Amino acid sequence: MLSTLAIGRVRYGVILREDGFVMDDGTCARLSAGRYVLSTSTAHAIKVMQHLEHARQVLWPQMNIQLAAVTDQWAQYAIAGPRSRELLQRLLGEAIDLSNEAFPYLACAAFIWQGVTARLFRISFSGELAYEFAVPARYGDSVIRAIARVGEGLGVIPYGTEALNVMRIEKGHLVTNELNGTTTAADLGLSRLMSSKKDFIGRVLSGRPGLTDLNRPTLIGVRSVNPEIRLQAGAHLLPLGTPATAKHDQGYITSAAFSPMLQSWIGLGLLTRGHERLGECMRACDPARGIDVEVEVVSTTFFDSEGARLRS
Amino acid sequence: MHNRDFVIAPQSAFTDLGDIDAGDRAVGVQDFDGVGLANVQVHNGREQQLAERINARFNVALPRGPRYTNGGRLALAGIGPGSWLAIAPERANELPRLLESEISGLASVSDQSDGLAVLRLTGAPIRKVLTQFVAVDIHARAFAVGDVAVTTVAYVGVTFWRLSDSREGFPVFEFAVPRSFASSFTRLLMKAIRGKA
Repeated sequence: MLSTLAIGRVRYGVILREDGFVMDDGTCARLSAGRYVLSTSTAHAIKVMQHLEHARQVLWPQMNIQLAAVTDQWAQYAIAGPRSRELLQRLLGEAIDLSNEAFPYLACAAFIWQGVTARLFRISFSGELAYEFAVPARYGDSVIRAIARVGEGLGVIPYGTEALNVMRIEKGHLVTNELNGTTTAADLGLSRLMSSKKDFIGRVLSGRPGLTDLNRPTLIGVRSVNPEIRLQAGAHLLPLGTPATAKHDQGYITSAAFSPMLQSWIGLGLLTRGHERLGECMRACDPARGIDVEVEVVSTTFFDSEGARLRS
Repeated sequence: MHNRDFVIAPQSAFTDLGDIDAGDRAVGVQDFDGVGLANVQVHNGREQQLAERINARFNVALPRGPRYTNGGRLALAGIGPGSWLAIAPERANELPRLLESEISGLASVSDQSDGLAVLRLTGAPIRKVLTQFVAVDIHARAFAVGDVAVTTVAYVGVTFWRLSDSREGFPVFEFAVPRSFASSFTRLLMKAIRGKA
């Protein structure tokens, strides 16, 4: 529910299709009384923009809403890690107070820095203490060099999508592997985000019997029983001792990575009645790649489940 | 502590424009990445008031339909129902603040000074160059001075408009392209100037 989102705050949310399935997830930041910035998955940006325009122009033309795509307008950098606040303080100086009290987790702000409008969001896909810092795109090259320069001595390094993918799996954060057009908010453990008090796109059809069936596959974590044995996305989940046939197929692994924090192969997956099966061991079977691994069904949050790092 | 060891500096979207071989200079290519650009979208039912306010504050008519008007301080290109691209010389990143103070309550303003980058193209053979990749009839009879087109070029969404002819009598067009495709557009233009687009 965004009506309670205060100015200067960010909230995580999901967008449903009319048929009740999840279209995408992202964050919504309220920069001023009537101005919001919505982020989407990269792969879903155009689809979400079309969806928003359809809602604005066709479903609710009486609403006084204007939309503008600003992806090209901003160069935005994720700065993550226990010393990210220190780095940003060196970079931004007195332009903004970054103390935990003044700028807590899920805060956002627009301010003038070095003569240009900058935006800062305290959001974290990695699960670390993290910020996303945005400047007008023409300053993007200059600013990333400045970030690297002021980060010297703090151990700053660029991190790419592979490192990000490992960290987001450790935290149970979702990407297109899980937001794949076949999952509902409830499947993904996000039913708390669906308002029970007001209408929203997808509300009616998300109540269909097939979408509320308790036997639907739901999001789970998996951990290789032998931590050194590799897991792979796409492997099917079967009860131990059953043959690897479609009849016994109860789900599949959507994402997998080796976790340096846990020194183990871990993954996310969708498993029939998955939320009831924590602690159960299963076969992760991938005949195409010759993989047959024993895994334990675990929580989707592998690391820092209380969120101490991102709130630090 | 404020680190003063660095000063951030803007970088043009058209960094490889110098690679364009304009042949015998028959084609004029000018980088206008530095103008202020903003998307202006009228609030429901406020178009008449917006037109009056814009005219009073900027001495420019709010275009009805795909037309370009220029009042000196501010130019406007109609890019859709209730939607305009505002263009102001040398006001990159400042235009939204200026517009918001002048048309507050009548329209929403979104900075596009960095979202789009503008190139001005002119010269005797410019239509011959553009027709290689623009799927819009740009003959003088069909695309008059002040006309605007929102279209796709090589699968990329662009907006372009026709300005008054140059002193030499050549047609003049300005193209606003997404910044992340500026280099791609430059390469396409380069090929078209060589007749190979």
